[in-house]
Amino acid sequence: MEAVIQYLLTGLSAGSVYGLIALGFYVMWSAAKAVNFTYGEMFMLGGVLTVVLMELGLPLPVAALTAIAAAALAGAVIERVFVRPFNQESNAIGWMLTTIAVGIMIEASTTATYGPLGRPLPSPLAEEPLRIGGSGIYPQELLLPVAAILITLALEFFYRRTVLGRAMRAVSFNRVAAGLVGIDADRITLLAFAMAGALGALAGFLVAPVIQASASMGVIVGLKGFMVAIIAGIANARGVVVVGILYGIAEKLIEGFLSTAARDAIGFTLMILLLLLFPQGLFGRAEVRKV
Amino acid sequence: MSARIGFLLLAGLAAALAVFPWVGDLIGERFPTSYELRLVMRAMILGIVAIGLNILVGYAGLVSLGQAALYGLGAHVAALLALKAGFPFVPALVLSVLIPAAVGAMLAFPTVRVRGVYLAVITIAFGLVFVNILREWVSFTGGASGLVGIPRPTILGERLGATRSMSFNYYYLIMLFLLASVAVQAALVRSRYGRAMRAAAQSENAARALGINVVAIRTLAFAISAGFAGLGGGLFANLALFVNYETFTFTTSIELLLMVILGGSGTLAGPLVGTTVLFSSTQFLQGLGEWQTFGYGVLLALVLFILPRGIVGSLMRRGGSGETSRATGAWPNWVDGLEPVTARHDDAGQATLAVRGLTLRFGGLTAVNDVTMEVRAGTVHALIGPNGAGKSSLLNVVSGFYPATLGTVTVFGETAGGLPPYVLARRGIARTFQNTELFGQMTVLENVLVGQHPHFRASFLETVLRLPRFRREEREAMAEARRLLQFVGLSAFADDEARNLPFGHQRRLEIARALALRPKLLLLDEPAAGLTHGEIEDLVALIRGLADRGMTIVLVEHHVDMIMAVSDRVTVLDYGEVIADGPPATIQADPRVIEAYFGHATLPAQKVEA
Repeated sequence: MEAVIQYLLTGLSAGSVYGLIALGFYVMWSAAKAVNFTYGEMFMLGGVLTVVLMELGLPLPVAALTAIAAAALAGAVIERVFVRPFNQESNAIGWMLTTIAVGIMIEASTTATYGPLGRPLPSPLAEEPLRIGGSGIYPQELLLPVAAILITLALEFFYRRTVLGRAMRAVSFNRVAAGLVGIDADRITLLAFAMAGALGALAGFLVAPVIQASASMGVIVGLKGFMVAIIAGIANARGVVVVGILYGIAEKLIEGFLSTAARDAIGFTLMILLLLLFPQGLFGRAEVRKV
Repeated sequence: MSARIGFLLLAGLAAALAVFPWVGDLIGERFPTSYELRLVMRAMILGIVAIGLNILVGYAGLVSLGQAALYGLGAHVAALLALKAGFPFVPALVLSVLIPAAVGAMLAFPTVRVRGVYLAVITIAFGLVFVNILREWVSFTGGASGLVGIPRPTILGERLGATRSMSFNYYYLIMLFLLASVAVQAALVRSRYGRAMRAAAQSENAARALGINVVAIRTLAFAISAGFAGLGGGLFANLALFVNYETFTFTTSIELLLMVILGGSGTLAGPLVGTTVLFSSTQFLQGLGEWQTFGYGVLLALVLFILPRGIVGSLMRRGGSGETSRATGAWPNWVDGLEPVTARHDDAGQATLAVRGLTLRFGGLTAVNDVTMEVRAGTVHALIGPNGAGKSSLLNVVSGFYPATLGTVTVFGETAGGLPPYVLARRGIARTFQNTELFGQMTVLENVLVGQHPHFRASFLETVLRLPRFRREEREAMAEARRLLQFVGLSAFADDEARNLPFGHQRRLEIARALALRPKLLLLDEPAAGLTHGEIEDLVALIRGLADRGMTIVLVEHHVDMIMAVSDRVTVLDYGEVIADGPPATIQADPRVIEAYFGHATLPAQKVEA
């Protein structure tokens, strides 16, 4: 029983990270019907840049904010330079390849300069584990689900209640029509990628004290986040976060009762099966293809 | 690059590869050594894998980022069968093709139904999980130390060696497989399969309307590319006699993709050129040490920015034909031999299409509301109404693109509700689109050939091996496609890319392509929009001519003159409902119709002007 509670708690925290990353994919996809394929690198930048900036002597909040701002900028640059020119036709695949190329460059250059090993990010919330019914968990890990829920609510508020958010939804719904009513769809898309960049970096910063910040920390998490978004249907913020958390918990349970090797194999098979049963995703609606 | 030059270059490559092991004997040097021989063999294997990937990326327009894992799967199937089950070389190699192909189909089917992007995600994930399993399941795969001691392959008792000094017949076996792969690629691309793949990539809707099962063709494309990867893997395992996961990581997947794109995806020679160039430059990239992966990233970005069509694609572009003014033929031109196009039709008087109580809702919006109408065989039935009246929506339900919310559709005496567009197309419903949906990067002739997709009977194997039935069908299809181009007066444009045609010609081509299905029921969605007055007159003659030969035609149109000239019956829709139905003359005088088009006529002082 204790073990199960432990798995649930760590799963909740790992799943929140998937949820946050999936949320970033959702933000990009809604605006552009394309994403930064190696979005996990934004997550990595959040962790690694914070560590590097702190090593340079900046205090934690300043370092974190700078890292998040840098990732937002990187997200915007990637949209402008690598996504937009390669996403002009409806069936374009160029953006997939260009963003992968950028991702490879970011990861490889980080590995070469920062080093292949992870470094700790000190946090007061990751020193003493909390005891909950015999299982231990760092307060930092509990921060992740809180952040995931708050950001989801904030994002929903943004999409529904602010002019900018509504413009973003309009672009997502119909780019051309949004353009006709005076919305600069290109700028909105740029902004969406910047937002996603910041969101990814925030997740990376929050999780770094628990897992250590390394150059390769983003690859797998980014990919799983994308798969989570797909399984959820990339249709709404709540859906992707819920699926993310559930996937995280499922992973920890498999890991705990079977093995680490089984975790990914079973998780992956599960995703394929879900996609087979729900082609539009768990929360997605069958979209009527305009003919 | 014409087929002839391509063939000569290929023959040259084959000769060079065949001579390569003997170069030392000719120039009296110790070259190539076994090491160099193996390098070339590995390059040839990668060439085979790249050819498979090209079919996926270049023709089907899908991306796989886990091709290395399928390559690795083939290698491990061959290695495990030989080591643990004592399989001989040939059956193990066959399975190392078939198993990855089956796995590929399983990965592709759930993903390509929704969006092509999903396949890319699933393949990366597959690649990572694959490597993960190889690394962790030590008892089965040997983990990091891999599988060693794979027995040297034999065929019919003959040992296949790969060393310069002893015997190197395995070199020639790999070379044969490479040449066979080139041949299979060429056969596939110039068949209905290759055309269907390209069609599905360029306009999914048009492909579905022409009887192509898009999910099936994409799944097939991925299974084929996985089969090639598996073949490469099987050959690799029997060359290295050792396999472990390090050869099959994500970096290799990117390398393979880079080979295809660098060489020119969607060209026959591209994968070979790309493999050669990249494989030669790996030596340089390896010198970059920890920056090697970075180098791949830079290279991929550079190719996409500077040479998006790849080396071969860019060379071919440069050699484009000089533009000459060509004569557009008169249309409709009822040439001899067109009879089969209109040969299968319902008996006159029969209801070819019957719609009863049909309702279509999008959320809260009712686009079509309780429509009942009947279209008799061999007639031209016009569907008119103001913008947003639900005409195109109705057409989309009839052709299977939108599922009806309520009501039934009966076509050719059978219920058609819920059937996908490609099934209806095969039954004999052809359509055109309001905004013409051509396969822009295929030639005019190829566009028409795609329309003949459902008529081919030659199996996949017959196609790949270019057996007589395939050749005969291909010849017949080509002849009919040319006749159809003559019919619409586009013979002179047969080899142009469809997107370069002027607008009016695009409309003509779309009609020729729809006719290639040999439909019993032809649905035309605003075919006259954007045409000149003269072109509209020709179109009227064409529609009338088809109906006189037995074809049933449903026409959505705004041009009142045209409707009056061509239709046998007119149904008028307004706000999704039928407000009038009858012969054209009656409709023209119907006050409800006038009201729908021009607004209320309640104020007697206001005169309605036509």
